Amino acid sequence: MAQGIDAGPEDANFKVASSPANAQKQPPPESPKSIKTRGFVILSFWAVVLLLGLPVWLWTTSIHRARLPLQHMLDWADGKTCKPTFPLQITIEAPFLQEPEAAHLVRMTQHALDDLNEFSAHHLRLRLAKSFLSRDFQNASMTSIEDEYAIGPLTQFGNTDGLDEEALTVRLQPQPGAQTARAELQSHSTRLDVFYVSHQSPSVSSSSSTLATFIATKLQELFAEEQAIVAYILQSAQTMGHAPQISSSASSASREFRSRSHRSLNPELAARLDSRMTRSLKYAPTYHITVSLFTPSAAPSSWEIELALAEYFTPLLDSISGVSNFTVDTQVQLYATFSPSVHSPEYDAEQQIWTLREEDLSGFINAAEWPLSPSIGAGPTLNFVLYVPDRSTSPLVVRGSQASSWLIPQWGGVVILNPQNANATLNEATLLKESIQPALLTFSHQLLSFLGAPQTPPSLPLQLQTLTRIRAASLLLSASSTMGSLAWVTVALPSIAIPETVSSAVDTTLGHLRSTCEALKEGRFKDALENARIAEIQAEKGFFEKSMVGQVYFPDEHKVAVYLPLLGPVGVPLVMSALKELRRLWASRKAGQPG
Amino acid sequence: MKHISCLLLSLLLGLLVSADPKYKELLNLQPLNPASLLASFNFKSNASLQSYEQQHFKYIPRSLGQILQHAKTRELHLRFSTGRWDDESWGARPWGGTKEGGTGVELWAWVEGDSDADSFARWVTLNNALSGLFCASLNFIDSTRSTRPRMTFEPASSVFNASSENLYLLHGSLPREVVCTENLTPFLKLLPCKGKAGIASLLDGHKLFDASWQSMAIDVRSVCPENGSECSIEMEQTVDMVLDVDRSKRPRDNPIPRPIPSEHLQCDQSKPYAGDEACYPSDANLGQSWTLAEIFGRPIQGSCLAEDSYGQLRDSVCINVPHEREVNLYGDAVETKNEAGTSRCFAIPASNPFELVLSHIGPQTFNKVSQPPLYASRSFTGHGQERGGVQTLLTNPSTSSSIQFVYFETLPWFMKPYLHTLTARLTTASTTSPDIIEETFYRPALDRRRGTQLELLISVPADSAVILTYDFDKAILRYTEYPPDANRGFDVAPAVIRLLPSSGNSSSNSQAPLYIRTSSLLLPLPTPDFSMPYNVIILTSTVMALAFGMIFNLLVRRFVGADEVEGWNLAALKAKARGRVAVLVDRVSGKGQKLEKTVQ
Amino acid sequence: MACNPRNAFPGTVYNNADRALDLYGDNIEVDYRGYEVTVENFIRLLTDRLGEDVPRGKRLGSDGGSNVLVYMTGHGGNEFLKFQDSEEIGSWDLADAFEQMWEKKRYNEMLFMIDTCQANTLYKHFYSPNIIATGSSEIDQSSYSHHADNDVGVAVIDRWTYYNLDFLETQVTSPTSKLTLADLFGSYDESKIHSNPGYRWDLFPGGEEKGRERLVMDFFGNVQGVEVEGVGGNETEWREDMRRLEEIIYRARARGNMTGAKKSETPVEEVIAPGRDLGKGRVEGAAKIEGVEAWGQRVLGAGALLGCALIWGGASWLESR
Repeated sequence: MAQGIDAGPEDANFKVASSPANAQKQPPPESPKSIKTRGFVILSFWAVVLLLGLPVWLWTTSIHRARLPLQHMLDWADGKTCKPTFPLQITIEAPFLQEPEAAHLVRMTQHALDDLNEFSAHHLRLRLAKSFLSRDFQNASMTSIEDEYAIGPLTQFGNTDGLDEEALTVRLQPQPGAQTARAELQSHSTRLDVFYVSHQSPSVSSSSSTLATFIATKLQELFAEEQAIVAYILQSAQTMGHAPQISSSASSASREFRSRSHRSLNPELAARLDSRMTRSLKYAPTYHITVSLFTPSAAPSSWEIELALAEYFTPLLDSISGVSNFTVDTQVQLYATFSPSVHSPEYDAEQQIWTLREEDLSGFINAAEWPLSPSIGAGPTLNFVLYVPDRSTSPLVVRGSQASSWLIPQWGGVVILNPQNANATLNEATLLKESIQPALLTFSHQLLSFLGAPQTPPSLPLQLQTLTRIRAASLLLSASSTMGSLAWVTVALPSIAIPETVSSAVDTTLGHLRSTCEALKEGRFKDALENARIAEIQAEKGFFEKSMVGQVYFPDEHKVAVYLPLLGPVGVPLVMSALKELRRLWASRKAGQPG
Repeated sequence: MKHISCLLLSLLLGLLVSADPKYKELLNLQPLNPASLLASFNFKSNASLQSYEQQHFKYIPRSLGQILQHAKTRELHLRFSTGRWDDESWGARPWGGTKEGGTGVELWAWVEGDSDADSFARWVTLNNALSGLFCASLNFIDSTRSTRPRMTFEPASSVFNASSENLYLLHGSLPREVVCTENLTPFLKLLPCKGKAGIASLLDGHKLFDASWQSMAIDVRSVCPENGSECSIEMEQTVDMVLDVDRSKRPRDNPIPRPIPSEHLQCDQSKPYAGDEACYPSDANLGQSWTLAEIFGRPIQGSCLAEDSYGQLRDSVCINVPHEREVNLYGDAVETKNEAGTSRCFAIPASNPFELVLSHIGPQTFNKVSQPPLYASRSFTGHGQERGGVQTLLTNPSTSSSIQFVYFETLPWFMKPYLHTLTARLTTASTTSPDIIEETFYRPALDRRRGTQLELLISVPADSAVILTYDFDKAILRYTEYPPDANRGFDVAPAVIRLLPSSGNSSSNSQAPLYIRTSSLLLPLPTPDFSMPYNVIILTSTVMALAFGMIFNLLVRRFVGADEVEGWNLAALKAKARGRVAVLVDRVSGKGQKLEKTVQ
Repeated sequence: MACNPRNAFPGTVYNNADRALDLYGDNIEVDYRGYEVTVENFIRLLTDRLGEDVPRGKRLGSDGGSNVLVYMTGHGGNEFLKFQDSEEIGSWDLADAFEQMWEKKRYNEMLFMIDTCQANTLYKHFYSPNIIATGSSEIDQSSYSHHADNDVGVAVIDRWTYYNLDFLETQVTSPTSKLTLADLFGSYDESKIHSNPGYRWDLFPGGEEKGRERLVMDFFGNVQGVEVEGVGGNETEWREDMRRLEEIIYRARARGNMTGAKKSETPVEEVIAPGRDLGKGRVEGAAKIEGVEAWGQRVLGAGALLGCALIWGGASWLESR
């Protein structure tokens, strides 16, 4: 107080008014030591506030956000980092041609192919078989070769050590009697047999050859669908991305990308591919398959499913196990009724059949009551439902098309099993494996389309190869887009915590994306799929990190209201004393300067 | 040749298997007294262990089978219960208490694992998966609610030896879990006939959860026959309910009893005050007669897979009333009466509805309810917000034989018992009897990590009662640990009592395990006022600011004598203020002048 | 909470005092109930940030082709809705959760409906595309309950919810119904609802015009598209496919027979090696308490106390010297 009066304003009125107080006793002058102590006290309070309080406050209220390579992630999402290409290696075996002739033929065919191909990202590379020179190969009997191939490609499909995987072997064979060349694809191996008329084989000097053109057209035909699918995937990934939201540069990148893959799909093909893509499941290393028998009454209550599966279904699964693994489980469900909202089957007296309306098929599966929950464990579940209608309402078919099977995109397939004839095959209580066979065949067909396998070429190993490439490409794109989403979410939500695990998952993803891209460029598609798979898993793990849940939004005015009762009463004396002290220091310095 | 022999073998096996029923169901109706009826539904499914492991499901449901395989659970017992079994008037429990759980949800299972941590991880997986299947919050069974009982449970499977196969028993319970229709729906879906046919068609959530007491149980175990034939996995689903007959007969849309008009009122004339003025309502008509449709809302819809392999119908419904009591049937059914004269059973054909009427004609007799082997009741003692005590009264009604049992309790961590206060004494004695508690297993609680586990081996002499007491402290919880709604307190899981077969006594049922559960307890904890958190913030801040201000001023201010300081001179202050104002006015006017000057 | 003991109608929830429609039904399933209903769990459900153990049934499981309906009702206020008694979800929280869903392609279109006081404030901050939002009442408006059932003892339903339910029950009769959102929103009668429902179209591509054309069953129905096989001209092609597949399976089986012997050598299940030392595993069970030990412990405790006293006494004696 006293100090305040001393340092009071130099107002005349005030001095007059306070003059009676002058008669009062003055407090003794403060010792410099105590003034100094006071300064230290205030300083130490401030030191505690600034050096301890502030860091503690920051530390307890801050949200840990690991650093993410945002720009890299966005680049991947925009397709700037990687432009996937699909070079396919095709070997030509021409055991009955001389080497220079064969080499020339290969060169010309390659030319013809390059002319035919419009889609630069996906191209075929021909090469002459190395074993061409070994003469004994030529002498090998046809049957032994066939056997080797019959077993070889499917079982070898799993190994990845071959640096350049061979997509197809073209085997040229002269066919003496025929007029024109013809090609034959082995349905169970990766071999295309071309039978040519002997005079078609080109001489080294000729610049064009009907045989070369023929082979080129055939090859192009074989891979046309694959090219279309790849083009479709690349395109849709670009159009579906959120490029316009982030920056203008991204959209320009996508434009550039699209111009590069200039082969625009015709709308009809695009629509077909669209429906196929929506039908097929997302890629997973493991799929669960549930085969269920549903019946509206108590019979049939058992089926020879184990035998039937072993005979008609498992072989197919074994052959495609190189792409994904499968677990199969089965169940029998009695008293399965339709959901009440579905129209019950109507009797068509003319044809003596019971019919279901096609629009009711979507509600055929009674989701509320039929226990078709997904299987436990990682990976999606495919449901295959075998419905045996009651004796009183059979045969049951779909109205119009009279079909008895349909598939539900990304979910599974349904087959209505009507007894072939009233009393022969369908035992009352037990379904024999023979009567399940057609249904299992339908399921196999549906399974392939759920996996996204193309319909052409009609060779399973080739289809599986195609599947590998398509899956690698789509995984690459989906993992990249997840990276983009994660980056965008990180930027958009500053209140969300980002733990270190996310950052490491992002690093792993980016690393594997890079190797995927390289593997694709070099034609190592198995490798690419493997890497893309890891990238996808890591990307999902990063995005769905459990601890990345934002704090519940707390408005700023509420924060002020919470802090103010403490900071107000504590802060005011601190600030006032600091100001007073600063003023004193300033005054003493001013006073000290002249002296 | 080899193929043919294989075929023959499989055919033989098939025959063997089909002779053994893969699915059985039985409803046992037992009127306990005129007003209440015990209905016990039992569904038993079987499958060979091999087909179960290969995931070919038929009567063992796929949804549950996959969960058990995923969590590597070898034996599972799951219970959903509500209500309290009234020992005094209902007698011994159905199934010897083995199919019964404590209030809420109770679960115990034998889980494979290499270590404790491993088995616990699988246990958590199991709980989560089951919570999705049964629509219950089973995922709340975490480390604080899980225990590993030592004496209370024995595996029911005959195939494994828990210690040699790395199997771990884990037990958890959720005493406050509400059991409702959403738990019954998945339960019924597990049945082969889905509640559409057979006795399960009587199970309706509206009736089941209106019962005085109900318990749903699922037991999965593996069984290997002694003769060395193929092992099988067995699932048993049980629903027991005690229905208040009168209550169940009320119409569903108007279940609230309205006052009966006086002219329809029947008076109990045996009361001394009976007359024209006073009327004590007679309960003579209570539960006199009922039909299945009246009590359960609908008749039984035929039977479910009731034919055995020879085309013979199995019994699906039994009613335990003396033979002299008249029971009428609607629908074709084959009736068989037992020789003891206490019950009759009915085999129902597949497709016809079946209706049963317990008629009011004839003598109104009931089978006598059997006496329970032990009465147990548990309650809190003490008062206040800090300390409490638990007291359990265990009465042995038998006049001839003593009884030995395991008493198993799990307490939440916020209830901290003092083991040194644990005493057991006979009600007749005033001091502690040291020989009542024969063995003790105890695992102390850790705050927020695990609860207390207490297992006692107790023996009670014939015709006497034992009082078990201990004291505990109530913990103070964190703000977020209190339930987020207007609640009545914290539930403490019921104690499980397992009666051990007495060695000396050779009574017929001494080999079967017997279980009794006490009711759950309601523990009130010191509860802060949650309604005004901002007031708390302000109050706390004020206290802290006061403390800070005092210390700060003590350190910073200079202390001088009272006479050395200018007092609060009002006139001086006024003059000071006036002076300031004058200065301000001067300044403003001066500025104004200056402004004027510049303008000019 | 249909089975709360205070409910006079166990296992039943009615929308009307006439008790004609039991909303709880006979085969209801509930994924989150009781204390599991928290803001955090709701946001986790939307964004799928759940633990690995959480079963499929408790996940949303939607993808880029799913239409999502979010219907919320309860007590709320300006930009918030109460969960239980102690927390609330804000408009910003919902908006951010939806944005994360959109980023990860977890919905195609979303219909957000909210019935609470000042409901229209709750969708104010949404910024993700393809969302149609509607609420029961404007800012500073209450959302009223429809009527009370005296036997139940509480108001049974909110007005806006009541008329929504009424529309769905009476107008939308089959899963193939062609009624649009325009029909649904057109059925709101402000004089009956006693508040002004609000709509938000600007996030939807094509705005109000396109949004109003959306079918009610796109959101309220569980309609899956199906593809009937063997339809039309390509039936022969389909048959051909099947024949080919049959051949492939046949061949694969023939091969399987050859390689079968090799396969069976690798066991699928990991067999736990017998004879492991079980004693090593630490059992986290209860320990047996022996009464005899108690005396020893007491002696030990007394000894420790005595020792402390001696040390203290000795030290003070030394000091005093």
